[in-house]
Amino acid sequence: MNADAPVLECRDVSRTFMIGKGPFVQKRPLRAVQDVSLSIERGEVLAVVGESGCGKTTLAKMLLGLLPPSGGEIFFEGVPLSSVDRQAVSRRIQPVFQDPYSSLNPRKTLASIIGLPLEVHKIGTPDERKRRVEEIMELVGLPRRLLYSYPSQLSGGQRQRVAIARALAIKPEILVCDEPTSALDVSVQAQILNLLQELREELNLTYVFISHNLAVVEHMSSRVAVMYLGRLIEFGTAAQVFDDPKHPYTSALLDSVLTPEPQYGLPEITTMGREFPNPLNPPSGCAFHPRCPKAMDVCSQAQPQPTDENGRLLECHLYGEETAAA
Amino acid sequence: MVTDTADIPYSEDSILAVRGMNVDISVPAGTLHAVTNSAFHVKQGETLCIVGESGCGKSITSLAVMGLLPANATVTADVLKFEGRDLLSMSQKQLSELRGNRMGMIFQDPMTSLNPVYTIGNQMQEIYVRHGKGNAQQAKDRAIYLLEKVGITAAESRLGQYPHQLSGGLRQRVMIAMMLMNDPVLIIADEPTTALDVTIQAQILHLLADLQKEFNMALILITHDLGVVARIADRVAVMYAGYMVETGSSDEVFNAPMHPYTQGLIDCIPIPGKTERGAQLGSIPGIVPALVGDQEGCMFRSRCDYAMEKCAVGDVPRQALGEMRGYRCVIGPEQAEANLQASRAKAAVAAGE
Ligand SMILES: Nc1ncnc2c1ncn2[C@@H]1O[C@H](COP(=O)(O)OP(=O)(O)O)[C@@H](O)[C@H]1O
Ligand SMILES: Nc1ncnc2c1ncn2[C@@H]1O[C@H](COP(=O)(O)OP(=O)(O)O)[C@@H](O)[C@H]1O
Ligand code: SF4
Ligand code: SF4
Ligand SMILES: [Mg+2]
Ligand SMILES: [Mg+2]
Repeated sequence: MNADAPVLECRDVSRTFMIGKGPFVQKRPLRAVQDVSLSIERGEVLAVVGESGCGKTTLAKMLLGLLPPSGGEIFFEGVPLSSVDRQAVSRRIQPVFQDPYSSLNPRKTLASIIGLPLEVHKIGTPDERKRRVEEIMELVGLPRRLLYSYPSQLSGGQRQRVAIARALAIKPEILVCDEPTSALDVSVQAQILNLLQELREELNLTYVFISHNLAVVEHMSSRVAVMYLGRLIEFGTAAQVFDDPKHPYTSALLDSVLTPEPQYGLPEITTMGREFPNPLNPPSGCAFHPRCPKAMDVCSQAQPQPTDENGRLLECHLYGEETAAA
Repeated sequence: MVTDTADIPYSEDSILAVRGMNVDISVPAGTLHAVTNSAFHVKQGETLCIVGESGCGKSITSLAVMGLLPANATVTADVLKFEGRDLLSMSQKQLSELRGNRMGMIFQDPMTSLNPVYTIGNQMQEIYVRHGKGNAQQAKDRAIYLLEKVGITAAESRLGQYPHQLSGGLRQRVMIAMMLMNDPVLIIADEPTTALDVTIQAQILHLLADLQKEFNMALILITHDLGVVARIADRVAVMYAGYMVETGSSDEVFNAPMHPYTQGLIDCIPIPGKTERGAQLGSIPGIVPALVGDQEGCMFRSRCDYAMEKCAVGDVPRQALGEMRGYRCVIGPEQAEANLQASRAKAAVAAGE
């Protein structure tokens, strides 16, 4: 363990799935995550954004140690995650998934759902575990009378609170939240976002916060990683990315956000209307080039290399030395 | 029963006019009041958005208009007129004649309206020929014209494709083209972009808005997303627990919301550049109440910051501010305006302005 190291760090992390069924079908590689390098500092909220299919969940599963990378390495406090015991990882990094309907066992009561991680990790006596469950329910705003209720008896917001309570039961340091409010109504979303903010301050948590909702991400995060077709294309502080987006894809995403401001009307559409590409057959060069309003000749020919622009990472031919020289 | 919305005026040229509409659904636990005393209308070239959280009665409202309610539901209304004709007295056959013809529909999941075993071309042709609009060749020409219109490239070759061969965004475009086959005067779109990515959503909404202008249709767009509403609506109806709790122009409803629910909903949404990063968002405590059984007083009272004793009894009055501007709350307009200013001032202080 290295105290100065980031809590989590991805170095050139990739994950490829081989797609194709049957003995006569040639399997083809689907590069769900490609060469992602980023670090997560203690206490921050690192957001991962991008359209569906860009690799957010695959990255989350790798950070949780649930899915091994097929290339590169993830480090946990400077130590390769692959060398750390699964149990030890799950004690300190816990997931909160989008769909509280399918991720909670319908046949178990809240008491046993929230208490299960304590049992698995053999923490405390049965009495102590029950007290911890009650304590954590109070912390996430679940009334104690629900202790012996089943998930089906709860509202969507309450179920998401159960998922958060379950994740927090064993006092982890990092929560990986994958679209934690996407299935919820806005009033309930606001309740859950406020809860996550409060918990983070109170418990000194670090969040990896995955969402396709940029308004929510802007509100929650300290740093933002923008992904496109498996690649990290812009990575910087929330202020850098939201106040002054540099990558054409980030700008397009931000322009598409519809805020409740009637004075603005619908955003103008340019080439972004073209469909998200097939990940089995990605475009050449910069994968964004068929949809990019700023695409140049070089964009369809060469993959742009990551460059550092005042501490923000960018992967685009508009930036970096290559272009300056050309 | 004549309700307090029966007399809200509407012009005779409204494509659709609804007054005092109730939809009750019989469920094992009793009667579920899915829509209560609803009133709205929409004219040619106009976009009305019906907005509210899930379960508040938006889809049931649209199904009632289209004559597609489930068998356990009953609809009553003081007025329910489409192009001046009473929908309630129409037979199922007459209603089905309207649908896909004068009335176009788009749903969240295009697969619910597209038949997986027929090609796009077959389906577009069928809807045209069935309503007696012309022959197969004319149908094909029109299908190609409309597929191009909705931005689909290589339109002719798409006619031979099956729905599952298309991406979600493309399918929704095909749905829109198909709905236009018979020149509808009214489009009812229920959450048409909810399943799509934001970039595709903006595109589809643009397309709908452009087509609506070009063909001068009336559009009723149903969504839970206030951002979509603000950007596309001429007029807005906010629903809560089966009631239309606030109606007005888009500017009025977003800039000066009068109903505590509308105010609360808007405050829940972080706005980049406005809402301070990391600050607590406004939120509405609790959840939507059950709609089964007798109702009295304001359905929002268990979640309302301003609730008082009189909110629990009798009918909540509709405060009329203009022809289609009104809200349902015991708080009069002056006090509601004062409450809004006070809560905005508080939010500004919290944001350190
Ligand atoms: N287990 C899997 N097997 C095959 N392909 C997968 C698997 N998981 C994800 N993918 C593919 O990887 C890509 C990224 O998926 P995902 O990480 O779920 O994206 P996101 O969460 O951003 O929507 C998609 O093209 C998806 O179809
Ligand atoms: N087929 C049905 N049977 C029983 N209840 C229904 C049925 N369809 C809708 N409801 C109920 O009617 C109310 C309104 O539903 P709906 O109009 O679908 O809401 P929304 O579209 O606003 O999310 C909800 O309480 C819902 O549970
Ligand atoms: S590399 Fe070229 S195509 Fe890719 S984002 Fe930059 S300008 Fe656009
Ligand atoms: S009637 Fe009463 S409870 Fe209902 S919205 Fe108005 S103040 Fe709130
Ligand atoms: Mg995902
Ligand atoms: Mg609905």
